[in-house]
Amino acid sequence: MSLTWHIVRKDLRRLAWPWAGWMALVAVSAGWIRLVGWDGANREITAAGRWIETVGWVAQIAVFAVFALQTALVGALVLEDRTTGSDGWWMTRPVTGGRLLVAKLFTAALLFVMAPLALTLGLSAVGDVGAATARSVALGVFWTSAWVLLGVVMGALTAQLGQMIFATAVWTALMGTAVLGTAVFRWPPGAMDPAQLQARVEFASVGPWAALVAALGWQYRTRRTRAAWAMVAAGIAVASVFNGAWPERWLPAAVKPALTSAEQAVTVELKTLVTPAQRNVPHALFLEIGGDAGPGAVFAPMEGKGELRWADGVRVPVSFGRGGLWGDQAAMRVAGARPGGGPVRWDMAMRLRDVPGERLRAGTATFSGTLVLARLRATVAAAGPLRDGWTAGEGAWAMRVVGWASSREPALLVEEKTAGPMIGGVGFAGRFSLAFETYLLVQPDRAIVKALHIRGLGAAAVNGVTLRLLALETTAPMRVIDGRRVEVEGWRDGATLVRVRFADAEYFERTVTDLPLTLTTEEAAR
Amino acid sequence: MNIIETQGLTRRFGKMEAVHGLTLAVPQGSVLALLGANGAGKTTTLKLLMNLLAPTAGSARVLGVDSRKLGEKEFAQIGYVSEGQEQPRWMTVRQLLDYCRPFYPTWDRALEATLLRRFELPADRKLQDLSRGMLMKAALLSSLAYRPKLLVLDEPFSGLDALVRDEFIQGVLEVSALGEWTVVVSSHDIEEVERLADRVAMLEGGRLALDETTEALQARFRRVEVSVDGETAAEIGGKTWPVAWLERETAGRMVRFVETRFEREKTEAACRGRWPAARVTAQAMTLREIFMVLARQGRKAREVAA
Repeated sequence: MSLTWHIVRKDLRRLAWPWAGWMALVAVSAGWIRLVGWDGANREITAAGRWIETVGWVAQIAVFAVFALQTALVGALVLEDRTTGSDGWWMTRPVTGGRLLVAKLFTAALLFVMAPLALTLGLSAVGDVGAATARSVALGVFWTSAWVLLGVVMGALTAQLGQMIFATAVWTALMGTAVLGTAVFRWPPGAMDPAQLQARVEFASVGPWAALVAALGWQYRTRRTRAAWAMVAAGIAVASVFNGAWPERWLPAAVKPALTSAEQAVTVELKTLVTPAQRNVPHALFLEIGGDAGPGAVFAPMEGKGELRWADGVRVPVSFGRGGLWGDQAAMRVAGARPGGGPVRWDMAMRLRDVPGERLRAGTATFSGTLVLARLRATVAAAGPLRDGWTAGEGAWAMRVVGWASSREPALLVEEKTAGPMIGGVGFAGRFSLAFETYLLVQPDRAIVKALHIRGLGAAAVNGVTLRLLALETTAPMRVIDGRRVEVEGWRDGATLVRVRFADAEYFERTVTDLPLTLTTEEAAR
Repeated sequence: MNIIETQGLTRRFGKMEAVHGLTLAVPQGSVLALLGANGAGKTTTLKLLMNLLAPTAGSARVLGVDSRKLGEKEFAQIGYVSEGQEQPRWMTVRQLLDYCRPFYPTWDRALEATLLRRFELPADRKLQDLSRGMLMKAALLSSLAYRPKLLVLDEPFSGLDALVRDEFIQGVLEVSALGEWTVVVSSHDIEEVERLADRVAMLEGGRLALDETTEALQARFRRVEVSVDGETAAEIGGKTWPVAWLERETAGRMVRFVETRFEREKTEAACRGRWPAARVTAQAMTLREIFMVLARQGRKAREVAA
């Protein structure tokens, strides 16, 4: 241990000044974001637009700088005693790879996880500290550690800092593509159930991360770099294969009809199609959905399939999913706020089926088909609509609406009230994606829920007892639901209510008949 | 006891075979000069011995341990200095020594101080600010102060001027005199190491062309001149020549060659068997001359093979 500590002290001495500079940046960034966040809350919303936008940009740049410098410093730490090639100084000294690895990991954890964590905790000491804070800290430590670990691995497998940064970027891109590929390239995006996406990403990520850990140990033990790279590549490949094997779409076993809290049918109004403005979104469709979804909740369109019919009998099959601004709109609606007092439209990205010769035409058409709606509710929302001020997210995501940005795109500026560091010890301001609860309703007369098997550590039970890391099976129709932290909450309205925490929407299905739609696309006009 | 033993040691880089079937033994206490032209496989051989590279085939044992399993215990008894080795250049000489010291239970602070003084190294200067010669001296110092059982020097003299080289050699010689150390030093020029070596191994295209003590080597190599009377030049040139006679030349009635298996009686008998009236004179050769003959011979063989 004393020799390991000897190496750690050498690295601490080596990185002392660059690290001190980085910590100063962390402190300034975190402190500044916190300061302007509080200040912004007291400003007039209408006057704050550009200012808030600037704050958001600067905050993002600061976070990026912290992020980039941290990556470079981790690389410098590892490359100080590089494991590739055959010219490393330590390789012919009485230092084993295992000892060196322990020293590097310890130093990395100390400098890039524990120190910024302590700093951020110090900065947030003025706030309240509770269970949410503890979870926030744990989450921050987890993600920061993961990023630092990635840097350590890439540093161990490369010879120079430039190569290390390049490899980190490539791995991140490949990992993202492998894990999120289906969701990224699938269109419209709404066709991918967000609940599934999160679960799938979590499961698919296991392979690449496990491969990274294995490659790191292998590299320090044997210095056979090609084999270590092969392990890393295999991890990505496993994730990709896993993704391919994952069921593409999942809907609740029993989708109930869309009803308001007063048991009334949800109204749906299709608005106009507009000129294609984005290359990756051929057509944008706006929907307005009426009906009281209950306190702090909102109905939101998730996806739809059907056809457009013109008076002369021409029919064009279409499908649509959530558009680019959907997340912002969901946030605003759930927060109970409206920019400028006007209605918030739901952006839906729309595409035609891949049938040659089919074109949208101008004029009035009707849509018939199926819409899947979701009832969204802020996770830890207090009863009643949320107003400007504190909103609450789950666990680490305690958020506070600072104001509205009056830019081209409506956006919320929120301050994360994180006690722990997310990446590099700094929370960040920007648009937030809303966290939701999901309830899966299973009709008791048509379905039963039972635990098939446990996938990992944890308990399994039904009717009030938490089921963790398990696979569930329902009947009628038979579906297997893979998930974690599934709780059977009991009975309600004659249905078994299974709460699936990783999922994020309560689904309602609505068959739409002859909704009028005015087409104004340039493409259609031609 | 052999400090180093290799058996069929081979290393390929793609299709290129850098070291081929090397079987070599280095006895304890010897100073082995590993010679060869650039690209002969010297550095690869040393890296294989130091577990810096994995052998493609064959094996090596260093200090009685498989080279692939060299650990902290073995490296605490090995000093390795290489021109290409990375150094923590941000450290001062003193910081380097302070950093090295705890890793070696046998570190001798008195020897460290002596060497520091003898090498005239500025202790508070950073390695990155040292000249190339100074840097090599610092590397040598950090590899000698713990009195390693085995000292491996890979081309330590390349790029050093004559004065620094002499100081460096002097340093190694002085330290060698302090104990029963084994030294392996690679070089492409025998002149650099002939003061050091008591044993020579020569690599040619990755193959071991020679491995013996310098004493035996100098004993069996002679430059031979034969004065031949009563024979025409055609008769002289038409004779068959033993393979052990290298660099054969005829000039008038003089025949010159390098005898690689010199034994006075046998060599003279062989000459008189060809030329009955031959007068034979044999001159001893320096290691450098022997090395040059072998190097030319190796090049010729490669050209023929090509």
